[in-house]
Order: sequence, then C-alpha cells, then structure tokens
Amino acid sequence: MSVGIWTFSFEDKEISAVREAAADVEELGFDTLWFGEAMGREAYTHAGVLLAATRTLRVATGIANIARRDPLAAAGAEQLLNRAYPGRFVHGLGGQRVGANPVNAVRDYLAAMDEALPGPRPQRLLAALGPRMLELSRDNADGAHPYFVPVEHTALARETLGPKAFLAVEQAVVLDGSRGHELAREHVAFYAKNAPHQQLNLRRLGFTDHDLSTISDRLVDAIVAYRGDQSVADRVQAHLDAGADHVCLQVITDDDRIPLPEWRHLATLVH
Amino acid sequence: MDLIEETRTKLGPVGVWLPSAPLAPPADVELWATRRIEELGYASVWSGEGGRAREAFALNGTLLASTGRIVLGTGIANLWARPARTMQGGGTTLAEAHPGRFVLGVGIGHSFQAAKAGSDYRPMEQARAYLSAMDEAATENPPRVAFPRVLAAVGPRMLELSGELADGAHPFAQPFEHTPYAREILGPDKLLIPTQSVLLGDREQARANHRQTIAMMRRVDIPHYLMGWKRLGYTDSDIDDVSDRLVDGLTAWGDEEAVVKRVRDLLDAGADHVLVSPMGDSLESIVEQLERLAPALAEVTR
Repeated sequence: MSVGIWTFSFEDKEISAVREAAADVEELGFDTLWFGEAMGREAYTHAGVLLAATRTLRVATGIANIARRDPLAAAGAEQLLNRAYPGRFVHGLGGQRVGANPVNAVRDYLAAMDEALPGPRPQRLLAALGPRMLELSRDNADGAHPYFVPVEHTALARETLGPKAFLAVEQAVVLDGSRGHELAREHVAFYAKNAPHQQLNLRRLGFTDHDLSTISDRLVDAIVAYRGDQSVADRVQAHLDAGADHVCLQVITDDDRIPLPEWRHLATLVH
Repeated sequence: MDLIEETRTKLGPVGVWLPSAPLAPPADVELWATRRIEELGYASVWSGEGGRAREAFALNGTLLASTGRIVLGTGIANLWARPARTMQGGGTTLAEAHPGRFVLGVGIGHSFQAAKAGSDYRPMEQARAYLSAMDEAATENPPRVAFPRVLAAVGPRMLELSGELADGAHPFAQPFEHTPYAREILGPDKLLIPTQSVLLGDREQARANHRQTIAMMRRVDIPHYLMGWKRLGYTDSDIDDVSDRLVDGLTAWGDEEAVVKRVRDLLDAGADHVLVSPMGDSLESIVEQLERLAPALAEVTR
C-alpha cells in the first residue's frame, strides 16, 4: 500500500521545524511527502530543502504551477533535483490561472521543457481533473495527481489513464472526532465556493448546484474521510481498489500547525 | 547591524564568479568545484543561469546543502525566467534554509531573452516594475531571514536603480574604471560586487580570450557590456583591435601578485567584494588557477 502525506502546513513555519517534520514523515514510513506551492516559498527550492533533510523519502510538488516560471527553469530544476537526489523527486505540475486553455498551455510547457533539456528526468505528474487533462497526463507525462476528488473520480481517471500511467490521489481527512463534520464541511466549502475548476469537476461527477451551494452532506462525505479511523482506512482502500497507485493524505485541522500527531496516528492506521 | 554591513562582513574582500552556465559542467563537477573553492578559503561562489535550462534556486539549494560555510550568489538569476513573486519566494526559501549564505543577484538580461519570453524589452521600466513586484510579494510574505538583493548593472541608470530599489549592484565584464564610476553613483551605503576577469598568463592569451568574447557579444547582440566600455572612454578601435588598453582594463593578467594588486585596487576604488573569474575552458582549469591564487588572495583585506 503506497500512502503519502500531503500538506500546506509548511508554508509559514520555521525551516528547522519543516526539516524535522519531513524527517518524521520519513521515519513514520510514508513513502512520499507532497506540498503545495502557495505563497512564501518557491516550489523547487522548498523541494530541495525537504530532500536534503531526508534520506529515502520521495518529495513531490503538489503542484508546481507553470505560471510561476518559464519551462527552461522548470526543466533545469527537475533535472538537477533528479540528479542530486536520484529517484526521490516527483515533479507534480499544473496549470492553474494560465488562461482559457490550460490543457494546451500545459502541453506546450511540457514540450518546451523537453526541447530545452533532453535527458533523464524525474516522474512527471499533472494536476488533472477533467478528461482532456487526464489524457494529457497519460500521453505527455507519467500520470496524474488529482486533488479534492471522490472515489468515483479515481475510477474514471484510471479508465482514461489506462493501466500504465501513475495515479496519485490526494485525500482529505479529519481526525478530530468531535468536530469532524464541521471541519470537513469548511474544507469542502472553500473549494466549492472559490475554485471554478473544482466546481466544474464536481458537476461533471453529478453533484448539483444544490450540493454545491448548500455544501450538502453527500458532497462532504464524498470528498473528506472524517468518520473515524475506519473511514480513513476504508477510503484509502477504496481509492486503491478504484485504480489509484498512491494515496496522499491531507489532514485538515482547525489551526495551521504542522499536524504531526495526526500523521503519527495515520501511520498506525495505514501500515 | 544592517543587512548591507552584515553582508560586507560575511563576504569579506574576495569571492569567485564561475562561468558554469556557458561551460555547462556535469552537476558533480560543479559541486566538486564549489567544495574545492570553499576549502581554498574563498568567501563566495557566484554563477549565472545562462540561456540553457539551469535553474538558479534548485541549483544553489543543492550546492548550499552540500557545502558548509561558503556564500552562494546568483550572478545572475534572470528575471525573464520567472515572475517576481517566484523570484522572491526562491530567495526567501534559500535564505531561511541557509541563513547568511545566499545573495540574490537579479538581472534584466538581454533583448533576445525578453523576446523568448514573448515580451518587448524596456530594461529600465521592466527592472523597476519587477523589483517593486518582488517588494510587494515580500510585504505579503515577509521573509523570516532577510537576504541581500543586488541588481546586474552597467549603465548609470541601472546603477541608480540598484541603489534605489536593491541593496547594490553586481556589474559584469567591466574594466577597472567601472568600479569607481559605479561607487560614485551608488554612494557609500550600497553593495558593489563586480566581477574581475583574471588570467595567470600573458596579455596575448588574455587578448585572444577577449577577442572571442567580443565576437560572441556582437553575434548574439548583447550590447550592454560594450556600451559600458565605451562610456568609460574605450573607443571602437580599442574594441575592434582588442587594444592593450582594453585588455589591461578588463583583465588582471600576469602572476599572482598582479592579480592581488588588481583586487586591492578595486577594493580601494570602492568595491565591497571582488569576484575573481579566471579565464578557462573548463571548471578544472579555472579551479587550478584559483588554487594557485588562494594563498596570495587570502592576504587581501578590505
């Protein structure tokens, strides 16, 4: 069972705490650590810090946004990290806020990377939700990294990707028993209200305007595993059964600390 | 102590600029060279991104993680490679991960790089807007560890901007006279970190090397450096003939003592930190010269 950790919580933390947390994730037996590129830190530099702080852990950008640097720079960075830390850097790439046609933008970007710098490169996974981006993940990359998706999406994604492409699915979890539903609902509301690409994907999967506007229980249950330990283990298994190669767990809490106790707990659940 | 004084203290008088971008050495050779230069006692190593896929932040992050003391500088990180927010994020992350060991050199690059990024080329306006956008990003996400930012500058207006919106200037490929000229414009409170071409060899070798470089600058149409020379009084015929005067202005050639003298003169003329850059067609040959120079340069103080 390939299970990783997905986190936004490193963003504003002391780098020493981030290094220690990465080493803990490795020690806990997770095989990959995913982090988002949101505000303060630059994705490849951040990846380098995490790789230097660990020995065997795979470190994945979830994702590096193609709007943030030109394809030459991305190609140089991925090759360098791949050489410096062989087999340990996973290059998650995505095209948010890149204009009207993200599929074309990502396709051109990947082509420009290859043209700029041929040679050995790390695994490349695309942030993909819709069928065309999934096809691009299959044809022009090594697989896909869907974020904020129910299990039925994983089955559809596997169908489009075919048997060979790698499918790494992010799964949100809440371990706070007393406030599970509340925190799960807040998490879902954030994306359902603010992220057009997520809204589109949810509609494609059959969620209605009503589901989205009220943040229905059906929607919350589909996106977040929050009903106790068994629900988390079951959800991971369901993604794997539906065709995921890897599931990375994002712990949702009511604060912005690095959720180390929760990661420790997850380690006992999934190993 | 403010950031500029801290940086001066940390850097001391002598560092190294390596042409790793044009030479494109294998990653392990570049790491070996960086470690060796650290061992030899130089305070810093700088390199650029060039036109190839060489990403400054991933690269310097790896080099910093694999060395212990030496300061790494970008000479330069090209602003056409990434938006200002990403540049600021890269500097923030490296400074935090390796406090006091990173200097960000940013530059506007050349018109062909702008064209490749799908933009026209208005260097002054674009450099100003870019540095301001970096500052905005820094206001939104203040770095925990401050890092110095210097601007690639040759002409008077870019030097002024280096003083106004950056912590100083990082002039490249300029003759000796540029240093007092740049210090005059920057005033005393800003960093001035020039490169100095060096050759343990004779004037004819130096001339041959510059002849090639000048041909390349003309071929790919990068006029800033040549314009800098002319501004300081070198003529077209100095450049066409690669005159003795030009060779001597651009290069510290001769023995170890000649190099030390030039470095001392630059420091006296206003440089804070001189980046010696031996001529050579491989990092190995460059490091060999740095090995020979190290004992003499270790005696230089500011």
